[in-house]
Amino acid sequence: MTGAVPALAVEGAWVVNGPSRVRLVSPYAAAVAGELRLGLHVRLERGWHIYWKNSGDAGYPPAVTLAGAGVSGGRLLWPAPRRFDLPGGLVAFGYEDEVVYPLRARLAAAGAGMVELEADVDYVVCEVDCIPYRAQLALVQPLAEEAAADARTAPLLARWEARVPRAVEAVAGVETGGAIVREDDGAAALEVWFDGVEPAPAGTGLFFAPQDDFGLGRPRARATEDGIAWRVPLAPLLAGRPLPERAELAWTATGLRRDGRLPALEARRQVGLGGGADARSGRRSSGVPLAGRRGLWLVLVAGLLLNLAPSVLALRVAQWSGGGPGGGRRGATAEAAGTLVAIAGAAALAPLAGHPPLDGSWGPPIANAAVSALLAVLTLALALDLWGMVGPPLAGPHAAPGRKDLTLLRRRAVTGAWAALLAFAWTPPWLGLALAASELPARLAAAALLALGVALPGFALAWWRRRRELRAGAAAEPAPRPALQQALGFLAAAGVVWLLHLLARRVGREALAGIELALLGLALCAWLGHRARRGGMLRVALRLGLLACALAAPWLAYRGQF
Amino acid sequence: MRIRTFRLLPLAAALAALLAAAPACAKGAVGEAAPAFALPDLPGKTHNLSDYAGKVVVLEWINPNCPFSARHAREKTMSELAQRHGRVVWLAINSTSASHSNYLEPAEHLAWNRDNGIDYAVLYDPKGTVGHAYGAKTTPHMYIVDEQGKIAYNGAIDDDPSGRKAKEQRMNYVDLGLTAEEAGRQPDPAATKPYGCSVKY
Repeated sequence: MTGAVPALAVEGAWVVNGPSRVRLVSPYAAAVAGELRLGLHVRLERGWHIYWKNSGDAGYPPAVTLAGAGVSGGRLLWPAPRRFDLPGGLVAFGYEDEVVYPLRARLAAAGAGMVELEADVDYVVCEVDCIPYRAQLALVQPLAEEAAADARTAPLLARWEARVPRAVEAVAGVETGGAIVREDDGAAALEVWFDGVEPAPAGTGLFFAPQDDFGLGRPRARATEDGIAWRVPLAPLLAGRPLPERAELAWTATGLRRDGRLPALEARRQVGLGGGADARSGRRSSGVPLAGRRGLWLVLVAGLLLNLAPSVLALRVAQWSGGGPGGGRRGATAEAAGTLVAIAGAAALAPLAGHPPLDGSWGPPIANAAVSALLAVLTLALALDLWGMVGPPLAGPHAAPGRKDLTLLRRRAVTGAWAALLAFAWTPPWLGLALAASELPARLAAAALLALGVALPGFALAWWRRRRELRAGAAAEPAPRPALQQALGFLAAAGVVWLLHLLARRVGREALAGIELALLGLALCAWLGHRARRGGMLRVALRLGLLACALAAPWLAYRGQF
Repeated sequence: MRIRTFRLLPLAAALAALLAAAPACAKGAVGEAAPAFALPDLPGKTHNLSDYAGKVVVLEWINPNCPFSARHAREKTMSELAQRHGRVVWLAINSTSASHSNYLEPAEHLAWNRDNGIDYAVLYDPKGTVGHAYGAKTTPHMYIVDEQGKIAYNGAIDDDPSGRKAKEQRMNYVDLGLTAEEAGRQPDPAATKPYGCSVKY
């Protein structure tokens, strides 16, 4: 518990508590009687978070007691939070890096002079550990007959006040409601809808104010004919006792658009909990991905841009520099098909993961440590291929246009799937959201567009090669460039480093060390196999070793995940 | 010799599909049968919940490296409560993963117990199986299991997450619940929101 010397300024002195610092701020160079606007300004070291009014499964929200001559009240307002998925399936709601909680009070004093404000603050910050703190803050607020804004602090407070949710009734054309529905297995769920809105491409969120009647699971959003709906699993806290007939629930939705981006919206509704309508009577889905039709174009663009991800770029440049992968348009089509199968498979699998499939960060759309480790194996396999240790070579001899070559087409399809899997390591959070949308048609639509975006360079290459061959009048011979390919191997290896960085957040230290050893073992087996001049038992042993290392990495990740 | 790697891909994809499955969600609702468990304590003796059939059992999720557990240990909140309700079986469960930085070896935990006057059994659940079965979210997270083996209380130890109140001013939900059980009544409140650090699964 630490205190601060009052300062004659609209910014109180920072009180530093471990990884956090807090202070009072005022937007007024001079304040007047009536409603007093203040702010509780918090800054956190990287990796730490502080809580919303509903803290989630751990922690607790900050509490402030304000004092000063003529000052009464002292009520915190809550800017729209973000979700933190914690190990073990737990969740927290709050803020990271920085937050200003707007603070409202009443000031009875008037005229010239000043008022000394004191605030007693209880809060907790968490990273790996949670640490409760108490701070006593002070601020001396000048008074005047007319209010005067402070040029520095007024914009700061205004920015965070804008993030405080607005009542949905204040936005014309937007409605919200909630009802109990029954899933196909009979389980009760809460469906919350917002009509008259569409989701922002960066994603949406639904948060509930604290209540004691039942537990609420992770909301899953989908686009409806009229807006957005969330399906929220219900879990009674008291087994064997019926849910109350009605309950008052308060919810906040973020990431909404209506003729432009909307602020976070909140609503308080009486929801009937008895009975439960058939799930099919919930809001009718629109069948498009949550990102909406506009978002579909972004998915296509994202697919194109994923070709610039280091490991995918290494694959593409190796294909192009070696004279091309061959097969013409048929080859490009086979590659696109392979890409689509891989992406559609991931989109279909994502909701099957018992954990939430997304953790709101970059990386694979299935937030599973074993999947990340598997992708690291595949990325390393690319690097080893480019270094010439494993094969077949990506930029090998190609078939002349017009000739059927099933082996070549099969190879192009596998390359397409491989490119898609490499790209998953670099998936932005909002793209993962589109791939993990709750409705299967929406997921497959997003998958198809993403695959098209990833595969477009293949079609462009086929077109360019055809034009070049028509001009040259003869099929160009492949021009292997081993030095470039070996350099590209290091670019691909950067993808392995990135995936290990993601894994470090999801597995323990021993498991991470084991995964790194498995990858090293895989590279060693590949190198030994490359140097071996004889086959037979040695070849069998090295293949078994390579396979063992490739399987060990995801297994160790699975066993060691938090 | 170059090793063909492409044959790994279908196997790898199948493995990814198998591993993408995840454990079931947490339980522990009041009124449900308390999930059975068999866990070792710090000296290594196994404790089965069934060993205490017919008795009221308190389960306290604990983590010495959590400031909330540490505060209650310093203030002897749980120890004094266990002594006051002498007929109750008090068990602490540590579900911290062995790969987490908060993990303590049993010998270290024993030393911490001694320093804080904790003489009830602390059971180790490093895989988090029992923690997940009960839906334990925080340290501390408290459960009262009644004589019929059902969960009678699930939630916080008291109404003072910040520890600001004097001990005698706090509403101790577990004390209220145990007093109700002893009088043949059901705890009220039967469920509260637990506070503390997240369980380090």
